[in-house]
Amino acid sequence: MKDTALKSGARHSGLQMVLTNYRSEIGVFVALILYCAVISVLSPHFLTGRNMLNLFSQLSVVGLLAIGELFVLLTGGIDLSVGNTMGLSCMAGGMVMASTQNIAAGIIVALAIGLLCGVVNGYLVGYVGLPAFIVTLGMMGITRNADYLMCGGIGINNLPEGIKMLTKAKVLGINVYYIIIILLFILMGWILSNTKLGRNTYAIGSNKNAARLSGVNTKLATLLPYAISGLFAGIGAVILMSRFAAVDPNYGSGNEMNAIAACVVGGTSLAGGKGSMLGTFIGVVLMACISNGLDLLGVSPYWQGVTIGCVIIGVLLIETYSEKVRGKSKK
Amino acid sequence: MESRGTLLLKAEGMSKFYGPVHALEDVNFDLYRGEVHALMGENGAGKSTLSKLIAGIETPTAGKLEFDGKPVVIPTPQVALKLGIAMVTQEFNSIPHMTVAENIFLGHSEMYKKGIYFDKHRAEKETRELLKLFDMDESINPAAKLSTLSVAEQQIVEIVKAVSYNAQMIILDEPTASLSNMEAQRLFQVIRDLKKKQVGFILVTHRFNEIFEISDRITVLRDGKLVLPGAPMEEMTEQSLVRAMVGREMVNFYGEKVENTVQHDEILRVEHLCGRGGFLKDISFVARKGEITGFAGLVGAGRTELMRAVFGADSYDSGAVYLDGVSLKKGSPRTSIKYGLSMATEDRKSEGLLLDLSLIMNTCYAKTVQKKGWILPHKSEKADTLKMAEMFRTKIGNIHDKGSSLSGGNQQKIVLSKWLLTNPKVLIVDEPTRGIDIAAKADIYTILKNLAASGMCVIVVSSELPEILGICDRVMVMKDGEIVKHMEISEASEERIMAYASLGRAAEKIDSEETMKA
Repeated sequence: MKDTALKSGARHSGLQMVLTNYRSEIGVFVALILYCAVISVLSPHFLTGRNMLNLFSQLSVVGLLAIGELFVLLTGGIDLSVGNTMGLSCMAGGMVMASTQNIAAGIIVALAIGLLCGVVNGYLVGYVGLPAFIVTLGMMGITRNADYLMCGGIGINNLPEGIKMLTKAKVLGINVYYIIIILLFILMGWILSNTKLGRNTYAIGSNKNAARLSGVNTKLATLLPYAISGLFAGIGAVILMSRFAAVDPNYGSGNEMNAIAACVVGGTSLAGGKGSMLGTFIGVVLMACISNGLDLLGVSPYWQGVTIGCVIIGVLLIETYSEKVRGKSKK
Repeated sequence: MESRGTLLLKAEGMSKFYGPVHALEDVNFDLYRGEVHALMGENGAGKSTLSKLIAGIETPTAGKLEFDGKPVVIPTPQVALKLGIAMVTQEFNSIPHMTVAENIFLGHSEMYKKGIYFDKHRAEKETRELLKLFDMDESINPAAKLSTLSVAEQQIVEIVKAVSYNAQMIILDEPTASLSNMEAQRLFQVIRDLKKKQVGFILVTHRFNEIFEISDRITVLRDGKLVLPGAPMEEMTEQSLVRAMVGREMVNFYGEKVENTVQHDEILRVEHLCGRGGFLKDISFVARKGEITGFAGLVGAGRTELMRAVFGADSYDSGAVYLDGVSLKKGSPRTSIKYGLSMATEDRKSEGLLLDLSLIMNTCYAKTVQKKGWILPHKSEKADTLKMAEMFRTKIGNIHDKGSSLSGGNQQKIVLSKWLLTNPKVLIVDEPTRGIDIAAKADIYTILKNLAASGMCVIVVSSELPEILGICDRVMVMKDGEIVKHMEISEASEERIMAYASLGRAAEKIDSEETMKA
């Protein structure tokens, strides 16, 4: 009897294990490669360094939102407010920055507002027990309109010039903040798989009841992902301010859908408990490549929207189908 | 056996392969009118697969079916139903927020006026008539929402539904898994009534006593193959049945009594606990180190509710729980675990496991949650998982496999592993062996006994009396939210426990007369 577990553990290791454990990530990655191959044949501009940098600037903000969104989706919740929370953070931070001409103060306010919105969401979902969809839908309405109320419908454009440096600074021809975003992906991915915070996030998404009975503080463990989501909306706001050195009350609207779509395309389950940072990153890149590629080909933005919608549904179909096939062969 | 009716179903060479897995291989089976044919085997032996092939839920890879003398092909459950074959599964196909009558007649086209409007009155009237056949018209109201019925009553509604389709043959998959003895008796009465009407039954079950009580013949499967084809029940003994199922003799199913030298000090004290809106009435008891304390009673007696309150899974109204002298905060599993009280709940799927997460996580997370610090100890977790798998003889493929990849018995072992890793002083186990196969059961009994011997206080809630008598040191009998009797195991018997479980303190009178006689 000694020890079947060990032996078979070894037998399964190596390539086979990588294949089973990273099945959905590999799936999206293959899709990404295929798509890039097709587009680069159709458009010679696609695979140029210049376009790649451009691509990265397109995905950076959605990428940041997707990091936070992934945490929330893993708990089985959803955060519909991230886009507009980012808009509000941007507006609040921008107003402080414009009036004081103090960059640091503006950034801190933007981050704090994002975090605050996230904590309020998390408190209402985790401690009061309201449904996430409704709470964050409400927060989305509040932040979208608070935005306009604050600025009276007119944007802000007298931000200090220095803020631009945040996104303009380059090392070896690559913008520093791209590297920072990549590092954030790695850091948050590490947190998901190596800390209690990450594990609790998966656990409550997989089976909240079992998690509570096993001693997890499920209220706090539900709140934290929303707080993280809000904080990343704040970080996104800082990037937006820096990139344009201006704030428009329309910022952020609709970005939550792109973030959720990127997570789902990357293999995250809306039911919670399933998904990974790597998959989400690939999902973000794939979504950005699709719209960038179609841009290069001169496809109208309306058709792009249709295409992206089809991609999301297509990915889910493949996922569900392969799950079924696997389920059958397992029995 | 009562006079055998005519042959109803004949299955020849039934096989079902899922890829390389042979779930069922060349199995023959037959069923006569008016008989109960039991189907037994360990988990994964192929019982469910065979029933599903007959009920049209799965299609066979090979094999021939004859029903009522004619060759048939059954591609879907609808076709099966039309032929007169119904299957009542563990997970009911019923709709909880609809009424009994609606559930029964939902699929009957003649119940719809002009093909559209459901005729509620007619459905309720016919339901009442059907229930009358089983003398159940008093206790089940056709207009009641299904969710207000007990599990046993819901089960009976499922059977009534089958009868409403004029089923000639009913497959029951673990019908008594969540029923108390008395409720099971009621179900058996229904089965006996239908037998007289020449209905044939296939009974899939793990429970020995009911097989001997109600079956006429038995077929045993092992690893998808036929080991005992349709033997008359009179020729069987418990021993021969176990031998057929596991392929080896089990000397003592519940294991030897493990002697221990632990001081049997009091460790858990529950005082005047009231809760669940007055259902749990002033409950006090103590449990000791080095002992297994059993909680017996009918379903609904309040055993699970009591244990959930003690552990903190649910809150309670008044009273106190002391662990080793420390008063535990109510409604907080977190603090209970911290002070050394753990509980494996009844429903391991919905409350015990993280089905789509890895085994390593399932095994270790309760322990890791208690630890200080934020970084997961991957190395020690891996070691713990492998150590527990070896100790429990858990059959796991890879520690990164999902919780859902395991069979029921192995899942239960994972749940117990999880709790043992939290190093509890008191371990409560609610229905430790529900729905798991015989070999895993024996393993779990051994583990629980060894834990007690090593000084742990183990509390077992069980609806299986042989299990209580086989492993416990003392028994508390509950009825209607109260502890009505406390017995040493030496003075306990199935009859005495049942008397208290069903009659409550009123059993005292009979009990003392019996003892006088003895």
